Formats: sequence, C-alpha cells, structure tokens
Amino acid sequence: MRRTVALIVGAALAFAAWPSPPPTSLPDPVPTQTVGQARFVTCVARADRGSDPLLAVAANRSGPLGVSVTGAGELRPVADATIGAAGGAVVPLADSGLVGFGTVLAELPTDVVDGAVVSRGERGRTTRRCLGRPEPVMALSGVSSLDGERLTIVLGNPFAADAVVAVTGASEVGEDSPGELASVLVPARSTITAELGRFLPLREYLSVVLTAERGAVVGLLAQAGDGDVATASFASPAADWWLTVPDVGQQSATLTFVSVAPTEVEYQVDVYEGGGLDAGFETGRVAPGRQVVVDLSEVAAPAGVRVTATGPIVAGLSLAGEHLRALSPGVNAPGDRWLVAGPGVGGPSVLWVLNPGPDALDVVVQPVRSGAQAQMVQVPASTVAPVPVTSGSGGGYLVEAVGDVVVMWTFGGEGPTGFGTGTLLDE
Amino acid sequence: MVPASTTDPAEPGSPSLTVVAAVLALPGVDVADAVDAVAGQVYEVGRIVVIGAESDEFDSFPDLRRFAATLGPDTDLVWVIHGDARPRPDALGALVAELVRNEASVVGSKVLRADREELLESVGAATDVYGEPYTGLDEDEMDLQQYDVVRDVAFVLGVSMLVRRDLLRGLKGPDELLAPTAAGIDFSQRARIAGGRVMVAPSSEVLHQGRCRHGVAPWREQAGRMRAMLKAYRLITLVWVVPVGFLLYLADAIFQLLLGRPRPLGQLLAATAWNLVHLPSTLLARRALASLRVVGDEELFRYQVSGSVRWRERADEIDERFGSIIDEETEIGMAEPAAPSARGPVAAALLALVVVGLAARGIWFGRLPAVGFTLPFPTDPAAVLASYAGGWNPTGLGSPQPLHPAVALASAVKFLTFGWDGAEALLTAGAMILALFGTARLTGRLGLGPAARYAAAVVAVLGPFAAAAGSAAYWPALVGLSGLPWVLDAMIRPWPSGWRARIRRVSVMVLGMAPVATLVPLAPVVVVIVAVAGVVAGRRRWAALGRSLVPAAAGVVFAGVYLLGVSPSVLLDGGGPADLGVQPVWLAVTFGAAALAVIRGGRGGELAGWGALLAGVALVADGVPGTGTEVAAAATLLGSTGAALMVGGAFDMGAVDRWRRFVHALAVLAALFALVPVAAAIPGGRAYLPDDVWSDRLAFSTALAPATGPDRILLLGDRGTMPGAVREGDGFVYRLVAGGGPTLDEAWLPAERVGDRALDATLARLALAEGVRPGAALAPFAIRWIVVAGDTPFTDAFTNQVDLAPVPLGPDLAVYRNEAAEPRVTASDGSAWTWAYASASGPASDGARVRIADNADGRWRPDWVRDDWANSVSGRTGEAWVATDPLARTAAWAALGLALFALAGTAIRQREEP
Repeated sequence: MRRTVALIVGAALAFAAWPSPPPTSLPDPVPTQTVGQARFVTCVARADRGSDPLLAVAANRSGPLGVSVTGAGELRPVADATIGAAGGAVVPLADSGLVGFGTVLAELPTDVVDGAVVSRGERGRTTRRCLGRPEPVMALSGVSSLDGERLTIVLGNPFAADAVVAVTGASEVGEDSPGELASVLVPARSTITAELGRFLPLREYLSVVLTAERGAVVGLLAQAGDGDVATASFASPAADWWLTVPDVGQQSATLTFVSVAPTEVEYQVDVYEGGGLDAGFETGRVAPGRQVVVDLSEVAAPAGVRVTATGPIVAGLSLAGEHLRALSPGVNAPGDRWLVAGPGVGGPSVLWVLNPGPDALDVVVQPVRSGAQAQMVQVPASTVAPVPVTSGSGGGYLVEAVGDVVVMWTFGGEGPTGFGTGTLLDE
Repeated sequence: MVPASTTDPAEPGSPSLTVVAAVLALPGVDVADAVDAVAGQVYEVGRIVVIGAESDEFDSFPDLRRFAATLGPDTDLVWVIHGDARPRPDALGALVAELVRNEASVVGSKVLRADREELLESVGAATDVYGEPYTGLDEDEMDLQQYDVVRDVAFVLGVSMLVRRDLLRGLKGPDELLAPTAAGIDFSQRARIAGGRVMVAPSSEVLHQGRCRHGVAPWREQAGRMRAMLKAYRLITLVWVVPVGFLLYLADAIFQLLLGRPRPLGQLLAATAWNLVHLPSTLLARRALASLRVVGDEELFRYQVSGSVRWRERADEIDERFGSIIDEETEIGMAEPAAPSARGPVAAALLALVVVGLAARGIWFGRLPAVGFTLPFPTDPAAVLASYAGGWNPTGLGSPQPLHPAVALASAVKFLTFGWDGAEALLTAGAMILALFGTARLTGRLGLGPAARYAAAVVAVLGPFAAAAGSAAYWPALVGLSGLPWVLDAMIRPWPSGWRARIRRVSVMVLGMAPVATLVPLAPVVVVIVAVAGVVAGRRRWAALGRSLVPAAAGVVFAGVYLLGVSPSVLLDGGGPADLGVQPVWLAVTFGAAALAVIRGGRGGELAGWGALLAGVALVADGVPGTGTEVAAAATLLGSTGAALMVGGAFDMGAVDRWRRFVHALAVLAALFALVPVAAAIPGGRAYLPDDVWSDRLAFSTALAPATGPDRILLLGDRGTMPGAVREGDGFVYRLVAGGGPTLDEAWLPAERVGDRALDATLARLALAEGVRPGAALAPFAIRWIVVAGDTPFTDAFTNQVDLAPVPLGPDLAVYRNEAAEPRVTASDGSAWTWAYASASGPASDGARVRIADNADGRWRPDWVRDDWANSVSGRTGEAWVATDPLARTAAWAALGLALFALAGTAIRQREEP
C-alpha cells in the first residue's frame, strides 16, 4: 500500500514539476517611460555696472515662474514672477545679486517654453539663449580667436552637484583641444570663465565641444572684436540643422559645424537662395572631432542653410562685417509654430522667418503679452523675410505659419547685432 | 622537638612517644566504640580525652583548642579521632611509625567506610588552588591497596590524624567554625605553612561511619574552604585567587542553574555571605598564622591539582550528557539497529561539528553580514517587542501590520543579552548546533548508524536547501531548522504512559516549536506534512498524526500575532520570491529514484526514498508561481529534513540484491549531490551567506542627523543589493529604511498603503526629471537621505537638480543629502518633536497639530485626523502614539505564556520512559 502511494506521489510530483521551469532570480524591472521634458531653463547672464539684464520667457501656458541665480556657491531666489495669460514674462535681474557672469535658473509650470536673457548695457544689447536640461555633450561652432578677437568661454552650474567638464575643440588645424581645459571643475551653484583665446590663439574658425564627465553645465561663448560682441549658447548635437541667414549688412557669412559622432559622418549642405534651393551645395565626410567650414560669401543672397548629417553634429552660422560680429547655432527642424523669447524685450528687434518650402506662406507674429496686436506677413518660397517688431512684447513672440518655417531674431536699430532662435512647439 | 629515630617506635625497645587520644564527640553518636577501639590499640595510648561532650570516665574538654592549651611536655603526640570512627588495632602504631620515620607533623589514616569496609573513603587528598577537595577516588572505589603509599598530601581528613603536640598547640587545633572536610583542609594547610609535613599512612586504617557529615549543609563546606583559603594564602595570591575563584564558581552556578539546579548558586551566595560575616575572625586567624609562617604558598601549590576541580567535574558531566544524547539507545523499529561504527558516535559528532564550524566560522567567531534578510538585530529591542505586541510597525512609511515574528525572537534574544553585539552570532551558532545534533538524534532514532546520521545532520544544516536559503540571505530559514528535528524526534518517540512524562513530552514539542514557528510562520504545515509522510510510510500510527497537531497548534500560537495581522496573500506571496533553482530534470530523476527506493530499496532505501519525496514536495511547493519568502522558508525546512533523511538512508542501506544495489547506487549519487554544497560552504566560512553590504554603510545618517533624529533613507538600486524586501518602481526597486542603517525589523515591508502609493507616484514623477527640486518632492515623506546603489533611471533627475547635495562617502554609493528635508514629526507651531521608534513626543501645546509622516491610520492618538496620506494628531498631550491592538496584544501574551509553560514543563522530572 505505502509503496503504491509512494509511486503515485512520486509520479504526481514529477508531473507537477516537469512543465514549469524553475523561476530564476527575478530580474530588475525595466523602465517603460523615458525622461520627460524639462520644466526649467538655464542660461548664463552677465550683470555689470550700467547693464540691465532681463530674463525673457515665452511659454505655452500661464503660471508661476520661479527665478534663481547662482552666486558664492548658493542658488538665491530672485523673484517669484508669473507667466501671463498670453504666455510671456520679463523678469529684471539687475538687483538679483549677479556680479559679472552668473547662471540663471527659471522653474516653469510647463515644458514648452523658450527663454533668453537680454542685456542692455553701455555697449548696447546682448542676448543669450536659455536651454532646458543640459546634455552630456554640447558644442558650439563658428567662433574665432584671431588677433583682435577676444574669446571667452563661460561655464555655469546652477545645480547642487559639482560638475567636471572636458573642453575640446576643432579648428582649421584639425582636432585642437586645450590641454589646460581637459578637466574643468565647475563647482555647484557657481559660474566660471576662461579666456579660450589664450589657450587656442589665432584660430580663424573654431568649434568647441563640452563633455560633462560628471554633473551638468550650461555654456556660453562670447567673442568680442571690432566693436561688437557675439555671444552664443552651447547647443545639443543633432543630425539636422536649419539656419537662417539674415541680411544685417554682413560682409561674410560662414557656416561651421563640428562632428561629435564617434565615427566618420557624411553630410550635405543645402542653401536656400533667391527663391530657390541649391540642394547639395556641399557634401562630404567629416571625421570624429573635426569641423567643416562652408563659406557662404559666394552665395548671392543666401536666405537659409540646412545641414543634414548621418551622425550628431552642431552647426553654427557666423556673420562678420565692419563692426559686426554675430553667431547663431540654429535649430533642428522647421515648424509651423514657434515660441521666441527675447525679441521686443529692451528695445526693437527683427524676426527673421525663413520659408524653406516651395510656396509662399502667411505668417502671424503675436507678442506674448495680453492685449498686444499681432501682425501678419507673407514670406515667399525659399526666402527669409524680416519682421520688425517693437519693444514691449512682454517677453517674446508666438510665430505661427500655415507651413513649416524657421525663425530667428536679431536686435533692431543701432548697436550690436544679437542672434537668437526660438523653440518649436510640438503638435 | 620529636627526636628522629631510625627504628620503628612500635618495635619493642624503641623510644616511646606519649600519645594522647582526643576523641571528638558528635551529636547523636556514642563515643564508647571509638574509645574502646582507641584503648585497644597495640601502641598504647597514654591518655584518652573526650572533646565536645561530658564524660564520666575520661577527661573532657569543650573543644580541641582548649584541650591543646593544657598539653605539656609530657605529651608528644595527639591523636585526633572522630567519635564515629573505629580504628583498627594497629592504626595508631602505624601512624606513630610513619610520623617518626618521615619527620612529619601531621599524619592521617586511610579511612574506610564502616558500612562497607572494602570501600575507600579517603587516603589523603589534594585540592585545587581554590580549596576544592580532590580525592582522586571513584565513587564506591574498592580498597585494593592501590593507594597504599606513604606520601605527602594536601590534607588529611580529621577522622583520624596524629599531630605533634607543639604543632597542635601552636595552631590552636582545627578551626571550630568549619565543617569537617573544610576543617581538615584548613588545619593541614596551616600545618604545612608552619613548616610541618602532612602525610598519609595507608597502613593505618580507620573505619568511619560518616556521621560527622550528617546535617552539614554543603554551603558550610564551601564557606569553610573559602575561609581556609583566606587564612592560608599570601596577599599576592589572594589578589587573583579570590576573584577568579568567585567567577569560576559563579559560572558553574549559572551553568547548573540552566540545568535546573538552582542550589549551587544559593550555596555560593551563602558561603560568600558567611565569610563576609566572619571576616574579622578570619583576619585575626590570618594574622596569627602569619607569625608561624615558615614557607610560602608554593609549598601549598606543590600538592594541589591544576585547574579547577569543580569545572573538571562539570566537563565530565557534559561529556556524559553528550554521550547520552548522541548515543541514544532507544530506537524506533525503522530498521534493524545499525551495526556499530568503528569510530563511534563521538568521533562522528565531532567531525560533523568541525565541518559545520568551518563552514560557519565567519559567523560564529565574527558577525553576521548585513545583506538581504540577514540584518543586525534591533538596537532598541524593548521598543520593538512593544511594537510587535499590537503596536505600530514603523517599517517603511509605517503600518498597522505586525512585525515579522522573527523580529520578536531576535529582539527577545537581544533584550536578554542586554544588547550584546554578539547576540546575532550566538543565536545563529546555537541554532545550527541544535539543528545538527537534533537531526542526528532524529535519524539515530530511525535506526541509522553514527556516520550516516551525522552525514544526514550536516546535510540538514549545510545541504542544498540551506545553501539556497543562505545564498538568498534569508537568515530566518537558516536558523529556523534549530528546533524542528527535536520536535519531530519528540513526535515519533513512543508515547509515554505517565502523566508527568507526557507533560514533559508535550512541553518539549511545544518549546521546540517556538523558535521554528517564529522564524518560519508556515512551519506548522511542515510538521503536519512530515507526520503524514510518517503515517503513509507505515512507520507510525494515525495517532502520531494527531499528536503532530500539538506542535503545529503551538506554532500557530507562537506566530499568532503575525498570522492574525497579515492577509493570506501577504503570507503566501509577500516578501518577494526566493527559489531553489533546481532544474526540472533533476526533480524528475529524484522523484523517480525516490519512488524506486521506497519500493525496492529495503528499509534504508525506504527512508532515503521518503526523504527524497519530502525534498521533492519542498521543491515543488517553492516552485509554485507567485509564492514568496514564507513559502520558500517553509520549503527550506521541509527540504532540509527530507534531504537529511535521504542522505542518511542512502549511507545506511545494505545492498543484498541486484535491485537494491541499483537503488543504493542511485541513492548514494543523490546523497553525494546533496553533500556537494557542504564542501562549497567551507571556503567562504559564512554558511553561504553573501558578502556584507550594509554594515556601517549608512552610519553617516546617524552621525549627521539633526536634533529631531536621523529620519529616513531612500535606497534606490538593484534588487540584489537591497536589504530585505523591496518595492518596485518603473525600472528600479527601492525601499525606505530608518536612519542609522537597516536592522532586522525593517527587513519585511508591510503591504502597500496610501502613503506608499503616494511615494511611488512621486518617484515616478521624479524619474521623468522634469523639475529641479526632487528634494522638495521627497521632503513630505521625511526622507533626508537618498542612497543610490546601482543603475537607476534617476541619473538625469539627480544631476539636474538644486536641492540634493551630493555627499562623497565612497565610490560604491551615491549619497545625497536632501536640503529640503522635513522631520518625520512636525508641529504646526514649529516646536521640536522627536520620533522614538513607534511614537513621538514634544512640547505639549493645545493649539498645535502634529503631522506624522507615516501611512494614515486611525489608531493614532490623540484626536487623529487624516492629513492627505499622513497623520495629524493634536499636540495637547505632548505625546503621539498608536492605540494598542488588543487582539494582537493578547496573542503575544498567549505566545509568551505558552513558552513559559512549556519551559516549566520540560523541568518536570520524568519517570522511566518506555
């Protein structure tokens, strides 16, 4: 009897055990969601005697706006402002405690926002674009350290952790990295500057890459020379770049881009000019860490440039002329709705709208200030149209078109030429 | 001075020494026989006196001291003899002869028992340095003249001793305050210190009734030995002998107390008190002896045995008990009694102990690693015990769900050892040793030989199931086996007939179940399964199954607080899974072999087969999808027991035919397979437990804590690195621990409640890294520290943020201090409240509301209101507490009462058991 029972029990257990493989150690859960869009922007600002820096914000919704600035290892709240019903806000930073360069952090109720710091000073106006979440690798292309040009790199860290950044570069000599800046410590809640021209002098065309080994920073390059200052914020790499070429009286327009890809990248430069598209204006390959310089001076009336690559690059457009220095990093895609922070803040500005399409487009330009009047312009195909705007925009503009456009802006009137871009609103 | 003589004074013509016989009267003893024996000596006695009683015929004195004072030069020697002694006719002559021949000062007789003259009572004796006498005689040892050598001894009994008159006068006789043996020790020591030789003359025989010891309490002897030591030794010797001796005797008394013998402790205390009372007279006597001192303490040491006589006796007793445990004669007829092993049970036991000790040396002689469910015992055991018995469970974000009963057991051990750091190692080592010898006892009762039963025992403690539990760092399963084999052994033994024995048996089963059920709450099921298997196997009757319900029910009571407080789903699938990782093909092979062994394996094979089947049931139960740690722990107990039976049966099988040889081979293969992990455990020395991860790693949270307390730590990382159970997020696991580091009471996370869900949602939002203030988001949960161990989706969130300050504490951990942290307890008026394990206190204020960052629960007092997911109470009393759950409190008292009842029941002296 018991043997029979044992046989039955053994068989039953064997049957029960056989089909189900033994559970192995539970794996760790795999994330199903990716990182979201940042609900904050950071930017480098400068406050000198006589300057009046303003933080301009253009957002897709109203709500509270918390602004803080770094200083002496602290992040000090500046103001609890409000983004108006139209989505705009301008926050004065003059009494924020900024001395020299500092980093501004703006906390927002939305992740759809564009920000810029516009400064009015003795030498005129400057603008610096704000960015969202800093990326581990950022770059800026198209600066110069020739004789007579003063090139300053500014690294800002508004966060609670120290950052360590490697500064590398590319120039006409190839890979061109300053050894002294191979590992730069940017302490928490602080901003540091360095004269890049001292480490990399006499470079006609220079691209700079920031690689954050630890922590995160926002970066700015300021190129001063010939009575003008060009500033531009470092941008995140992408495979696609659109740059508008405004007519500001420049004598030369140069496209520069640097590859941050680990392998060789193929590229194609398309130029929009005179109502037409010169696709494949230039093609080629760029090695890792190298840059490409494309002289657009030969183009009669360039309106815009598109750079397409098979890997991540950062492109920049530099304009030069008599008493003229201007830099712009461009945007990554055209679109039909843009938030542009900065124009109309602290003085008149000009919006430059590039229509890369084959047909003319109607474009509506609306200040982000409640009750402000919109204006409508028509932009012919493959051309860039200037849209002068007055001051008092409330922070910036909402640009809407019936087709895809690329928007940037410059200062209007006399004085230095600032360059700014906007943020494309997703559908 | 007694003249030296080369001739025997007993011989005719030799110089005659005058001997006065002093017969000591004893209560209730007629000295006439002793006097007649003295008077009838071949060597004539010059005079007979009676000491301690009136006599019409002889001179009498109240004590020896006063008698000695009357002695004059006409007396050479004094023969002191007890009134209950009867010397042989030549006894005195032999004493005198040896005294003269050896120039001795004190010579004692060989003392034989008057009721059985062939048995020895004393032939002189030694002592240890603490004065404990050591006769060297076995109990009821016969006199075969094996000790008939004239020699120096440490002391002679005062039953019959010949003393020089001048020495007796100088020492003023024996100390009247001392009990008989102690008096002999004292007198002999003083005599030796005064320069005299103390010897025994075995040719002088005295029959002794032993009446002098009647009515003498043992503590009086001990007190007397203490006094003798205090009088004799120099100060330099007393400085170490007194404290060491006291500690030795205290340790012995405590040991005997544990064996249920409280009297030695009382005797020690009484003897110590007596000496304190008589200290002035002791000091006077010491001073008097100092004036006579001729030699140092070394002269005493020459005649003492080394070490402690008391502890030598104790060691013999332990050895005897040990032998009776491991060499149990009573067997159940599972198989014919195994042929005696050539090496014997002691050797097998020692070898098994060495193997287990080697495999667990890092734990026994070091400390437990802090990893998984193996964590340090709570630092405030009293508070934990109060929390367990119906209070608040502060683990994570808090819960009314009770703590795991293993925590209660650990806290009790910690409490009883006064917070000793080695409590964890003590409990673990003790449990492993109990499991080892319990399994050996159990398998021995099933008829296995010594080698087989200890192989089985080693497999139970270190086999594949223990290996799985250890690798998973599930400490409760490792130590839960401790009492199970003792319970099973008590179950399968024949049921005794007397009520005392039955109570004792039930008490053993219940008491053995206490640690098992608290560590593994599902252990009662294991007991029933084993009982069913025993019945089906035909080894026991159905009544045995009924008796198995006793320990099973007791186990339910012991784990009652926990079982009442958790839902069945938490019990069955909570804590996270733990699997034994055995491939199905091996299961099938095992079952097939097991069935075959049962059918064709003979008696030993049957045992192996049923053991394998039990192990198989454990494997299948553990493999059921969705089951958690409690099921795995119970499976570990069942599987370990089954594997032990399998291995024991396999090694004890006889192979008498072809089928049995085949089955034997299979069984031996399976047994070897089960023994492989044992060898693998030895190099690590931690009984499979992983490396330490969390010991002292979070101590920074205490060192850097604010005045309100260390608050909480949020741990983020990989499942394998976390202490205890975890909660799952989207792409990560996490848990909260209290500041200071995880302890065992935090190992088990209670079921999710509203606050846990709020934290889960907060972490999900933080992982998106949309904002820059994760610290502010975590602050309401009283999270002051974030520790990241491993990859998590929070890299961006913790990089681009402004209120979590990195704290560089090492390369292995990323630690952040929450600069926006809020205390666990906050008062609306800003007053400082502090958290104390499961309650809070602060300044009383009528208008203040106190927020407690724990899961909302209406048992909080006073004046509880829900504050989102947390609690808000009034600050009017200055206290915040949780109302006790009366059912849980009752269950806790019931468990404690049952344990005490069982403990008392085991002390009942048993009659002869069948």
